[in-house]
Amino acid sequence: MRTRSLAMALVLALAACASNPDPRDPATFEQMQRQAFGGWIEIVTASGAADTGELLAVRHDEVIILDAMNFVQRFPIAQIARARLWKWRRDGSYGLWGTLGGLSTISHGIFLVFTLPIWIATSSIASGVESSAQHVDIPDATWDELVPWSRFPQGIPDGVDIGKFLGRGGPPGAQ
Amino acid sequence: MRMLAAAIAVWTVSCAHHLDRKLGPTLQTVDMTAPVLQAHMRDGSVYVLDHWTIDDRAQVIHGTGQKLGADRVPLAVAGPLEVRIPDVALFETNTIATSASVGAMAVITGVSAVVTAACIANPKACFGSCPTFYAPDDATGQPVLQAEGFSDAIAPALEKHDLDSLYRTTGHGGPFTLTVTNEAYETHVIKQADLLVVQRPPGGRVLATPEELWLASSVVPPAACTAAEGDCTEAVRALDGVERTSLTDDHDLAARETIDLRFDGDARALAGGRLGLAIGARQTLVTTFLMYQGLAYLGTRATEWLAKLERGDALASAGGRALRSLVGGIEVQLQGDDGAWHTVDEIYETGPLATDVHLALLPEGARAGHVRLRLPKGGWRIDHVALATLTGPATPVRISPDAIHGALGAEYAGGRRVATAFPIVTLPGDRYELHYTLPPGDDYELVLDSRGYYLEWMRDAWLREENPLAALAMFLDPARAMRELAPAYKKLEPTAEKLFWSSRYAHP
Repeated sequence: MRTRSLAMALVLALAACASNPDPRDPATFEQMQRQAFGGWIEIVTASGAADTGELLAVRHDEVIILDAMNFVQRFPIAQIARARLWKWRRDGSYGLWGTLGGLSTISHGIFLVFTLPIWIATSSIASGVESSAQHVDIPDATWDELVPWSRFPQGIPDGVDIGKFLGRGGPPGAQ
Repeated sequence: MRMLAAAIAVWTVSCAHHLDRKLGPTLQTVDMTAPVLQAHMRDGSVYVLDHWTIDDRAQVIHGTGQKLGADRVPLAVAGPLEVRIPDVALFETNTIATSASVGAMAVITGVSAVVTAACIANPKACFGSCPTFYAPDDATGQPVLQAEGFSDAIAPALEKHDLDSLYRTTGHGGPFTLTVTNEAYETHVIKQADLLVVQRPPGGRVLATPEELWLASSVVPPAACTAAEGDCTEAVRALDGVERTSLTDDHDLAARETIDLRFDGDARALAGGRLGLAIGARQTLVTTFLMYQGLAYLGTRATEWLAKLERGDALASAGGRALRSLVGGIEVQLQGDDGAWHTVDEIYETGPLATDVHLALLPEGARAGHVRLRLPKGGWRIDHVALATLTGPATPVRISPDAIHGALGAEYAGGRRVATAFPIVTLPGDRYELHYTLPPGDDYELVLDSRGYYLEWMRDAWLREENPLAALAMFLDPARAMRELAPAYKKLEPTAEKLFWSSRYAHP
């Protein structure tokens, strides 16, 4: 019973980690070295309105995104309650590693009662660290930390009509 | 198991990366060794270049790749490109890095693999229990392991009852729950699990010998404890999980060592009662090792040997007793008028997990300023020693469970039902809660009186060591076996001890 409870704790702990909701074609890390799109951002305003989309640019007073419907949306920074920018999608979690490791403790006999909890603790912490590494949260972070993950880290240049992006902000694989 | 290890290894090298993104207005601010360079232009377009090189003199970057518009649509077919450095607004590189968490996971994987390998190589070190009883700890309220029931009873013929003090629990009137589990490859047959309930004397405790309970008006730790390694006073001062132990002898598992205890004043003179020595201790893994080594030698003949035990075969019985004697308990010695040390009592309880507090009785009229313990070297872990002033035998109230609730381990649940009364027969993974109702009152000492026996399951690895002659030699000449097996245990000892010491699991 103790072992089963620990195993269940392992599964729950590993399953509790957040995953990237970016609906675009998932890019591998190798592809991300070559793609030039912004990261996926989730925004919730002080009034409770929420939107998601590609982060185009962060200006001193506003955040511009290309939302999931391919419309450009501008959000005054002062009105944003919280936001989460997804930098990448994990290419693997520690779930399987931790689960296999936990299963391997079956061979440990009585020592399982402490090797299994060690597996649970280590893989849960590692999963948590990995899960949080793939995103940046506002207000925990500053907006400057999101700039490198926007499509236009240099800011939207004069003469670029972002309205023309309507219907063009396709997935990374389109490039 | 090998496939599992391989799967872990494959997963180890195939997951958990980070993207280290560097962004800056000059090339010096990005990773100059990155395989891909992105050049963000002032007009919003971006160059994505592989195999890029810098021509400082011409202030140009060469590479192969694409130029993408602000909408990220390619502006030309991919191919060789040249970018003027002054026209670039920002440079960007993305380097794939392995997550630091992989290191932590690799470490635990390595440690776990070592344990797995050690357990495959030495199954005798990794399994072993007997019914384990958990009772709530006064300090935390959480159930902690406090007793191993009838751990000597490895066959029906050896069925016995066993008194285990639940020393870390104070009983109060009302409901009380004890949890018993089967955490090994064994079949446990539990025929009784009564609680003996006694009101504690004011400021004192109730202590148990193997057959009776005694009221102690005071329990005083030693003023000094000295062993071969030096001062051990702090280790034995309280039942706190800090234990005094030692390593086995290189050449003989039956070699003895001594521990000298000094007590301030004369407790008997102060209190006017008989004296006893309370010893909170548990065995190391030596006994487990010897028992399993014996079963391994017996191999397919183990059941035959157990049957001989059942029939009262002299050789089997005598061999078992001789081995038990060599493994040894903790002898309590007092110095005689002749200056020699004489054993006045001995405590013994098989089991490496639960620390049990035993009472050794000193002779009537004995003075106890200086007490010596004699014990097998590396055979025991002593958590607590105290001189007890005894005021007389206790008359406990015996309470049986008024309800039994259990759950069967999933792996061996098929075709079985949960027991609701004694005898409770358990297989690995089974867990039962025994519910008692304590009489109205407070500050009760609780002592578990369990009775039953258990059967070890033979394991494939043991059968490979089958050696009837060695088994016979072990029973005919146990002293020699203790010498011959010393190197084998010595090889195992550091790992086994470290694993136990690194855990709080077995610390009451």
